[in-house]
Amino acid sequence: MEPELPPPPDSGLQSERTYLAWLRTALSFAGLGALLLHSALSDRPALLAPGILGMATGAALAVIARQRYRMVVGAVIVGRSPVDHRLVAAASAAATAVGLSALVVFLIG
Amino acid sequence: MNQLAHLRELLAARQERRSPLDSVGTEPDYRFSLANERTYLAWVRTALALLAGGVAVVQLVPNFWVDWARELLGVILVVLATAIAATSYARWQRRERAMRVGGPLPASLLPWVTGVGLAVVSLLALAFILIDIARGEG
Repeated sequence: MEPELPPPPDSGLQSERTYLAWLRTALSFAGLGALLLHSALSDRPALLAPGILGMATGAALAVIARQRYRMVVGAVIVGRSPVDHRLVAAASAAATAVGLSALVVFLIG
Repeated sequence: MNQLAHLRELLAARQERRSPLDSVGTEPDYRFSLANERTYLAWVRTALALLAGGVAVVQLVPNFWVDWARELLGVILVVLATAIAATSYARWQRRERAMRVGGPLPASLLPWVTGVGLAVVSLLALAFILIDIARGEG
């Protein structure tokens, strides 16, 4: 993994703000995952699965955010749309899965 | 004949609604797409924060006198969070599509739902706390 990211090509810094928004989202996933894992290890083992999913999604998004930033920079330079639906769909699916599994644990246990 | 043309138009419109995002309209200004993406991410983080709040109120907050209080607050928060997360992709896509065809951005009930949901949770929490105080356990 190259440590240095390309400089933002847009003077409005939209690409960098979007990168930071992905990073904050990754941190939110990891923070929620940590809270769920803490609860799983103290008194609700059923929360282990959503906890691991949250942590794993956070870690994956932190790495993907960098690739996404490079992709956005490239798209801006060549003047193409920087949209990536699969990434949006995957992040939504992960958040929904964590929410649903926590809901099931609270309603059943 | 007129009716047939009308039917054709309807079918074409339906086809357009169904077609994948990148074949509709023209590519919008990248700044708009990135703003849409950041708004989507802000909704996802809102869902994750509500989820963390729901888990925390069930797992970490001490019990209220009303012994189902934590579960009720937690379930409302987690349901709200899951609803936001589950609809977030469709919301992002509808807006991207509207940008591509140059139409107005679609209206959304979600800010209202989120605000009302949070108001209900806050009022319930206040009620549970006041009950505890009134019973001298607060």
